[in-house]
Amino acid sequence: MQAALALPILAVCAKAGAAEVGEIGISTLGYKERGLMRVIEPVLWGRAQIAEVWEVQASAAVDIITGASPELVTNVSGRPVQSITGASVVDHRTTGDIKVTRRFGDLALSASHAQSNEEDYHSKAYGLEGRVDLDRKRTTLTAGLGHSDDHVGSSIDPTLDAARRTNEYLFGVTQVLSPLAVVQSSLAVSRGKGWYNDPYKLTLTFYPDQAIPVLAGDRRPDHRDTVSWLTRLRRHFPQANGTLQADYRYFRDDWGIRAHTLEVAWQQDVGERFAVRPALRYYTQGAADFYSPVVPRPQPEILSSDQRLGAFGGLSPSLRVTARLEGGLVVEATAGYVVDSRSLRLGGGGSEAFETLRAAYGLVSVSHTF
Amino acid sequence: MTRMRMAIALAAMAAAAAGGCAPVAPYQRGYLARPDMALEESAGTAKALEKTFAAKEAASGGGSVGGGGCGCN
Amino acid sequence: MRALAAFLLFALPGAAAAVEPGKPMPSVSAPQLEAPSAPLALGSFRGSVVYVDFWASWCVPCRISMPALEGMYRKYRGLGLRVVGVNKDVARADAERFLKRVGVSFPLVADGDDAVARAFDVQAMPSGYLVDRRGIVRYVHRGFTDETASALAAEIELLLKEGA
Repeated sequence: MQAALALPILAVCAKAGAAEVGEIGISTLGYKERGLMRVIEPVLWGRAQIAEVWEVQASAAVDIITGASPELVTNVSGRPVQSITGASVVDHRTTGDIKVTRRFGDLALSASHAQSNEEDYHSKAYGLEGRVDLDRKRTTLTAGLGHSDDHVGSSIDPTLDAARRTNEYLFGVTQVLSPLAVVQSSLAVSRGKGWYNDPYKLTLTFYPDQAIPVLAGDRRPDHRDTVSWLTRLRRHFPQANGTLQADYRYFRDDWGIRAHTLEVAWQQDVGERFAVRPALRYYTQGAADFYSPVVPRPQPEILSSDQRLGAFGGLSPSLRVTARLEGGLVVEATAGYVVDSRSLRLGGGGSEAFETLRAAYGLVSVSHTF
Repeated sequence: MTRMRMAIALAAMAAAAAGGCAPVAPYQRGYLARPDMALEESAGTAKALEKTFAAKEAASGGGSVGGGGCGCN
Repeated sequence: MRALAAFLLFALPGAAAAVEPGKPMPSVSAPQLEAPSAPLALGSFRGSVVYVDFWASWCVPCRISMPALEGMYRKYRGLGLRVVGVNKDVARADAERFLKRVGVSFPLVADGDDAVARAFDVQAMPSGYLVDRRGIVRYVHRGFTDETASALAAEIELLLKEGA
């Protein structure tokens, strides 16, 4: 078992509807999984309105990942299982992003830039977004474009320097349904080309009629097109002093993966200062066409035994407590648990080699509105 | 229950939860301004938690563009 | 779009007539924000020039309008100006949080049931109605910018010169 949780910090933006000038926040996420612990360091996050028409948002984070990642799927024991071959490692990832928005009456235009860097992976992304308020702000239309350039390396193969480019397109509608309810639905399409293989994952398969096993690397297609449709609902119940929050996302890509995500939460006001939010998130995904925990014969060109491309389902309950203190200070603490397993897949048919994942996480954040 | 029926049941529940449509005057935005009624991704909590799940799942994306990739191994 | 909306509002039975320059100010009363059992009647300001301002903690331009109105209230109060802030927050705590940052000395009323906003047929937030000494609405301001502040100051001075 890994050592006790360290608590690095990640900044948090507590988005409020009230007319504040800016916010600054800091938060910590601790994530612990059997064999892998992930820690995120503080981010100086800030959001400020300047001269009534400009808004700037920025954040930066450092992830410190400690532990080992499953690298090999082998059926030496008779059935395919994941096994960890490498020693425990410490990985740093730093991320930063900035977004600048300019209002022109009912129209707002934004430009954003984000970067993510770690030893074996670098990503630079750019985004443009336009938002227009219609019908006295009862309807809002959003359109966005994004582009990212990723470079993938490998700490075990210094000669690897592969590139990947992705273009994203987004269109969304936000509609106020009543003084108590609002809904948003957005469609995001992405087209990517380049390197998708995981340089650390291998499949080692033994056959009953063959003495020598086959060792295959992770080989994925050189392109990936995805469609993601996200719908969110917020409905306040004044008599109960609570708000229902529901999010549903449908995902599909041209690798054959179909996934559904549903998260339902109830935010309950407790007195004037506190709120409690229990939530439940359910996830289900189907396997990629080229996912297989054993190497088929004849060996295909495209193959991956990465169980993140397999068929499984996941359930994650969580609880969040929020305290609004004097002077615009907000303190929030969230605790959650994640179980991913083949038996949780909607409709059954989870991948036989899928190893159940169990993890717990905790997030504490402090933000100040001014 | 077939998937189609489940989808219809979910949609019906969502419609019921939404409570129907009603006209909203420009001065009736008090409840909508509550923090728990916000729809946008907040820069911190939601992003951190999304990364937590995105590192273990094949699905990604949703509400925004230009967020960059994650070299999640 | 606004004309169409206004037309539809007229067409709906029971809709309030739009309160525009030339129309009398609706005679409504509302509970005071800090003293809910003591209602304030807008009609009681007859004889003074009144600015009825609809504001809320979630209204972004109100961060400018409220201090500007406080300034005007202090400057012209002795000459006969009255200001009434009609609050559109759903919870008093939200209004109080806003007032901690932007304190004002003019009377404030709470319009939780939307009776006052409906009577004035408020179309935007913030909205301000400048009423002369005879109780007739003379100027309406929707939204608030620095230009609104200077225009309003000129209008107030004009109306203060008029007799009751």
